Amino acid sequence: MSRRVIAGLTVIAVAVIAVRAWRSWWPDDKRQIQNRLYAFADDFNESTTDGLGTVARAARLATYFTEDVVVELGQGSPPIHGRETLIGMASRLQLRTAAFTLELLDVNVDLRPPAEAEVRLTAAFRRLGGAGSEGSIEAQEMSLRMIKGNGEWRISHVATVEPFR
Amino acid sequence: MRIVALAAVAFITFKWLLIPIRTDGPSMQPTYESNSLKIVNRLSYAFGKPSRGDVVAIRLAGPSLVIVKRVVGVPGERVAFAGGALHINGVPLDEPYVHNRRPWDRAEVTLGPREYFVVGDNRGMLQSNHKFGVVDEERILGKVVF
Repeated sequence: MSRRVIAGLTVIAVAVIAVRAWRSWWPDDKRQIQNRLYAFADDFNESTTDGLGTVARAARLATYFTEDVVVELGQGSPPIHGRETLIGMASRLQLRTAAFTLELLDVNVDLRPPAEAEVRLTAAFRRLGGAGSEGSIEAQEMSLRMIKGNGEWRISHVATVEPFR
Repeated sequence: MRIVALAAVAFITFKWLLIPIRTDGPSMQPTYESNSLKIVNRLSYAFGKPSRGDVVAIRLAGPSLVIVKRVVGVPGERVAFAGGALHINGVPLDEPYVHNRRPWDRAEVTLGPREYFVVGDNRGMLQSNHKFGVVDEERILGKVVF
């Protein structure tokens, strides 16, 4: 390999690292939203069943939503109104949701300045297979509206998107 | 240098052209068993359209997770299920890839100019457990080739 090629590859590698570092230290709104949603998935996946842990987890999850959040799950189920109702439901379902891990994929962010964004993503629920059993995935495309307030992006509306009609 | 070039070609091929997928779930049985490895050719429809019988990958929000189904209805056709039989423009369709049938029923739907009717081969499932229906062309990522 010639010196010129090595120098070229080195410059490209340094440029890639520099761009990644820049985006990581000073994330733009799109990156902030993506990071926020990935952090939500991490907190959602944190498994805890002891009383204090459950309360702390619920409080942490609440910070990802606006107070007047609306969640529409479709398929004839009525919409869920309000952060308190949503987090209350999530806490009650903790034992059931502990059997899954949530993974957010293909997070597409469409910014609506000054402080709103529409997000399309795939939520993948992976069933935690026991020893010898096969894991399985339930996937659901979702549409989110997010609002920025006090420097923090929060989810204000959630709706499921069906690929088929 | 050759290794770098080879790695770059492999990356481009398997990232954007031939996407490897692992099937999960019974909806395409017996054609595809759950947990089998398949390849989606994203160039399949670059110069043509999906046709009846094609097994295709359908994207959700992106290509990371796809739904695999068979195209049974193409634009302009009328599609319905009656007593488990698939009807195209009012005529039952011969489907040799279907081995078990439950009496699925679905009202007739007319496909728009960019719409396809897709369904899995496993009709032995409960209809309520099987996702199928009309999908927009822009959601079809490519053909499952092998």
